[in-house]
Amino acid sequence: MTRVSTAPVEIGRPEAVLHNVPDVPWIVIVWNDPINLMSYVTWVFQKLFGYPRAKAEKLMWDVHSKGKAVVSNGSKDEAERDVARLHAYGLWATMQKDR
Amino acid sequence: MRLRRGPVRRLEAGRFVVRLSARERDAVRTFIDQLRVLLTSENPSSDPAVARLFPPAQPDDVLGNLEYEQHHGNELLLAKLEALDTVERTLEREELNGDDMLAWLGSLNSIRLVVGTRLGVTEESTEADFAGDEQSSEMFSLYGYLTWLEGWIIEALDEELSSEDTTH
Repeated sequence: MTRVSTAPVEIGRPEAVLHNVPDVPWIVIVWNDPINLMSYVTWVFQKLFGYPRAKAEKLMWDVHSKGKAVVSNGSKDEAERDVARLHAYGLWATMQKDR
Repeated sequence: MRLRRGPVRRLEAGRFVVRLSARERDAVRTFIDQLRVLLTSENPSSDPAVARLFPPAQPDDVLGNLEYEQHHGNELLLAKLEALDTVERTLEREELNGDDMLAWLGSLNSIRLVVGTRLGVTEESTEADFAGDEQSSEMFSLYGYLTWLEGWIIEALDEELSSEDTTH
């Protein structure tokens, strides 16, 4: 789907539009918590990100045993969207610049 | 073949059966009502247990976090309220569709997050930890019940997810 914007369009610098400057990459981290079930966390990773079960389980075990795991990355907007989707499912997610 | 004696079962794509006693449905209804009261209070996140449902996206960046809350705070709250409404509307039904089942999963998980945070549960918590206080003890057994029920819902939705994987 495409969103139609009514904002004024800047036509001064076409090269800036064509060569979209990539955002600084951001990462999305899920932190361990004592309440969310392991099976639930695995299911959420599969459901939200379409990860295969093995990858979702590996990430869940990282969260559980290491306290956190990077579950996705992308532009700031993409990271923000992923964090919101994870929050909608009650996971403890944060985002930060990938330094 | 596995014996399936749980309260939640997937019949086929998008069809689920939930078999709960009247007492269990009452317990779920009570929690749904209580969570709705908490979520519609004037400043829900001033209660640390409710704040657990709305974690900061950028804990070290006050402005970034404010921006996130402006973008998503309301949508997250409304989605939770809508899920509670769905559970309430379908509470007496034996058969649920996929969307209903997701609302049940999300709502039960939200309730567990609030109750668990309020009780201060850890991964090692047992009944003995709460035995000293009657109210906490009762709350912890209800928490245990919700955990059990949610486990069955996850199992049914897991089955749905695997069947989607093989059909796509």
